[in-house]
Amino acid sequence: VAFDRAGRGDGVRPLAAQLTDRISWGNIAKSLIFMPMAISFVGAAVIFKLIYDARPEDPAQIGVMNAVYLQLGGDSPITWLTVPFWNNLFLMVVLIWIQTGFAMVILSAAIRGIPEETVEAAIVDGANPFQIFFKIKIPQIAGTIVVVWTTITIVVLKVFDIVFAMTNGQWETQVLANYMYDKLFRANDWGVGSASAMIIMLMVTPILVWNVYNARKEMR
Amino acid sequence: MDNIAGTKSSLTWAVHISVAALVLLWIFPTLGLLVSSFRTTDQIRTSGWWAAMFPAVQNETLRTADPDDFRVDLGDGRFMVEGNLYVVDGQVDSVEDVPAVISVWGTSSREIDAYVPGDVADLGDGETFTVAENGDYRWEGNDDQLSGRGQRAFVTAESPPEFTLSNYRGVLFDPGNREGMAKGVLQHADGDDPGHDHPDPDRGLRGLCAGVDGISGPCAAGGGCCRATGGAAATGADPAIVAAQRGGDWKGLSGVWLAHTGFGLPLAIYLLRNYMVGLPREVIENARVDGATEFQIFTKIILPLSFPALASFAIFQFLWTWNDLLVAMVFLIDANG
Repeated sequence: VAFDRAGRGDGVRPLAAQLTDRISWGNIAKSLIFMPMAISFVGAAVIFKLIYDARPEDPAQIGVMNAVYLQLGGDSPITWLTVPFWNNLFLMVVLIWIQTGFAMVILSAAIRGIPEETVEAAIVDGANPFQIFFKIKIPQIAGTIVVVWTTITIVVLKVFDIVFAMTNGQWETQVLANYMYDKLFRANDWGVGSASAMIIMLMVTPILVWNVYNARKEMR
Repeated sequence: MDNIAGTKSSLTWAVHISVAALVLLWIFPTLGLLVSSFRTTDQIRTSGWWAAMFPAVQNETLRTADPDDFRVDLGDGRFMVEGNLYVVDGQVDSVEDVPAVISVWGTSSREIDAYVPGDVADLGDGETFTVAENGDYRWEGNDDQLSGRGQRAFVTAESPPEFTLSNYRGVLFDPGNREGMAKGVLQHADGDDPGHDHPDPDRGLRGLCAGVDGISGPCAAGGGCCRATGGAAATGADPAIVAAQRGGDWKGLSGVWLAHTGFGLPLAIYLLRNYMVGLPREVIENARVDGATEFQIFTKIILPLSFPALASFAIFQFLWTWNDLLVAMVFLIDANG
């Protein structure tokens, strides 16, 4: 389960970085998108619980999701976090919301560092903006994308707070870190708790090694 | 790259729109939290935060005072109960505070809009009930009718948008709130922490290191030990925590401090070393030629030059510690609950 939280939304991040670099109020936009980084995971979980909230049929809905869903013609409010499979996506949204700012700041720095000559040459050769972005800029920041990807994947593998605060692993949303906590403190099963901690470490290690390797390459 | 001919494409407006959409999407959730923090629990429960700017229409079931205790004898076998629905219900303290203006009301759940304020509802056999705009009611009837529980009234009221600072007061300053910041932060700052005993940090370090390395007894190279701990910790698994927790009696804030220090060290060392390696060698050699000691070179040259790296790492470390829950949960809460 932990794995399918990895890497979602990676497509949107270079785009966000690319977009905010080109307009006059880009810096304001950037700080607003970066703001969720300052909110703790638990805080974000509270925020999104409010968004996913479901009330019984009759009174007004106080969760945006259900309010919109009913406006669009849904029959009855849905408790979003209890719908298996989809609730995983709803939890992922929280992490994407938090981490996008981080990825954006790093990627936009990388995009700024691209030598102008390459872009100019592409324009002279008649490339359109999409070609410039996907064929000239993206390949040149590939290293940074990998660093960002690995960093976020590590965060994802260690994710605990969001699941703990929102579903506590119920409705098929369990992750390893929460499982470890569960075993340690609820079941008092030190063996299984330790084992799951070790498994997290083993799963993160290769990515971490790769991350360090790439970061070093970037720095050179 | 704005000055290159041809970059100012027709897509500029699309860029503006998509950035605006992204920004709105990203601040929307936080906005909900911000607005909710200024609303009362009742308001949050009854309407979405986006409706906070508009008057809220609320359906409520209220009950009059208990007739057995409050009825007034009018003579002729007639009795009367008078009061304000909201006051009886405990929602407000006095009639002046009633926030709502009742638009319609009824006496049965099937017809909650049967009457407008001021109407007199005939409940049969001479029993009458009337509700005014502000919730004042008058209920008349004979001995039999005015007994038992109070009469129910289903009111539809419109309350103006209302914001309150009471949530912040409760979180920040209310001394009665045991989990509020007034208690938590100030108490810890005083060092007065009745819940947890403060452990001897050295013993804690030993425990932590022992947990990792399987070495018991004092750890001569404390720094080295913690690097090992941090190395494991930074990869995300927490065998150190598991081991340390099992070790027992050092918990509380010091435990959290130690754990976070251990988690932060490996990355700090890694980043700062990389930065310091890149510093110009000539400067250091010059200082050495001028007779500076190694310690002076470090404090007077390396540290000031590393300020950008130190600052950025400090920010990241703060963010991680600020955002962390697991470490605090593990170290502040006893295994026994």
